[in-house]
This record gives sequence, C-alpha cells and structure tokens, in this order.
Amino acid sequence: MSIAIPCIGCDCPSFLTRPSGVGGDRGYSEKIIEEIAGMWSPRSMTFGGPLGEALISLFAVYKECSQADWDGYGAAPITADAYDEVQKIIKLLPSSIRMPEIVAEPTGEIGLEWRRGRGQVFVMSVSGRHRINYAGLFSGNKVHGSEYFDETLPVMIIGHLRRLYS
Amino acid sequence: MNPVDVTETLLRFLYFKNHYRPDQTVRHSAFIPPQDRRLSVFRILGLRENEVWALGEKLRPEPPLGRADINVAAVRETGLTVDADDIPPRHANIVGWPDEASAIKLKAMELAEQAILHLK
Repeated sequence: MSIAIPCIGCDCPSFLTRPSGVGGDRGYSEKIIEEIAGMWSPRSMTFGGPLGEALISLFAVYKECSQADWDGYGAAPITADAYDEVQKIIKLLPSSIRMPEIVAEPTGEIGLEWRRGRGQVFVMSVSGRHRINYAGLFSGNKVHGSEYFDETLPVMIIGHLRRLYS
Repeated sequence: MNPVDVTETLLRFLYFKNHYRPDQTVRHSAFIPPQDRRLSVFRILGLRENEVWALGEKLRPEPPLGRADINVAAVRETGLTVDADDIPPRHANIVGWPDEASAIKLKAMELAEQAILHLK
C-alpha cells in the first residue's frame, strides 16, 4: 500500500527539490541516498515500495550517466535538469499506473519505460526542457510524438499508458 | 566482404547494463544512434562464437557486457538500411534515420524488440 504525504515547509526531503552540482558533489549524493533509504525504513510511511524503488533507480542511473561517453559510443551526459524533470513526472503518475523502469538514453535524455511483453512497450523521455518525446508499440500498432510538459502530465501520455495495459 | 545480404545477422556490442533488461531482452536505448545518425554494428556472417566476441575485445579498453544480434531483414523492415564500410573489418552502420527524436525512438524500439541478447 502506498500513502502520499505532501511535503510542507521544511519537511521536504532535499532530493525532491532541485539538486545543485549533484554530478560532482559526492557528499550531496550520499545525503540523497541516506534520505531515500530512510524513507524505506519500517518506521517511514512516506513512500510505497515501487515509488521508492523508482527514485533509487533514477538516482543510480543519473549518477552512472552524468559523465560523457557512459555507453562506450559517445553518449551525452544526463543533466540535473533531466533528473529533476523525471522526478516531477514520477510524482505525477496516476496511482493506477505502475512505476516505470528508468532508462538512460545516449542523447542525454532519461527514459521512462513500460513494457508489458514482446511488441507491447511505451517509452517517454525528457531532457529537462519541458518536452516529452515518446514512442510506443501496441501489438502491431505504433505511436510516436512530442508533448509539452510543465505542471501536469499530458492527457495523451496518460492515454497511451492506459492503452498499454488495457 | 560481399554486399550486405538480407539474411545476414548484425550485432551491436553493449557496454552498459541498463541497455538490457533482467529478463534478457534488449532496450531501445541500445539502438539509439549518435548525433551523426550512424549506428555502429558488425557483420558476423561465417564467424564462430569465439570469433564474434573477439571482435568486441579489440574495440575498447573494457570488454563488452554482451551483444544484441539482429537480422538485416529486421533492420530493413523498419525502413533503415545497412551501410557496410569495413572500417574496421566487418564494420557497418545502420543509417537512414528520421530527423524527429520521437521517430528515432520508435525505430530504435522496433529494432530492440527484434534483437536477441547474448551476454558475455
């Protein structure tokens, strides 16, 4: 079971606000890890398991891919802006949608992937510029496009996610 | 080598664990091309398994974690083509990518769904 508790005032964990210089600040990175781990403790009711796992996975991918050429083929580094944007999106996902897998893309975007089976996959990617690039395969049908993103998830994106699991 | 035949198998060496899933399937990110829109692959027609892996050992200081094998036919079905340059020997590039980022993502996704993962 997941319980959402709004962050108010000074109680908001630091990783839910914009990180600065995460890539080169080892102390700050460790602080983030400690905070996430704390939210997983039996005493904590802040996050359900899947949300915590997604955020931990996101941070791990960001940390591993924040330098250029992380894939051996000249990949662009993932930026703090992309990291921030994915955190925001994860928090906006409807509770009826399962948490995605986090995927690093060579363009420097971070992808959120949902895969139901062979030929049934949907990915949306962001780079921190308020633009969601997405693509999907739905058992022979294909979609792709781009949507502006600011404070709410585009309805089209939610529609594609629901289609994947319908 | 001879011109690329539709029955040939290509491979893309993988150096990053996030490019494949725990269930041994390949993610689309393994097939997203770089800025020059030339996706590096190798032709493995006629090679034994150990010779295939030996190709990957020479490319980078670190050995590949695995490889994603895909047929030329599957590449052409997505509307892309294979440009063999043999630099180094057996090297080719998958080219013909669209300009739009989301369209590139879709084609990479289609390739990944057809690819077969082999781990080192």
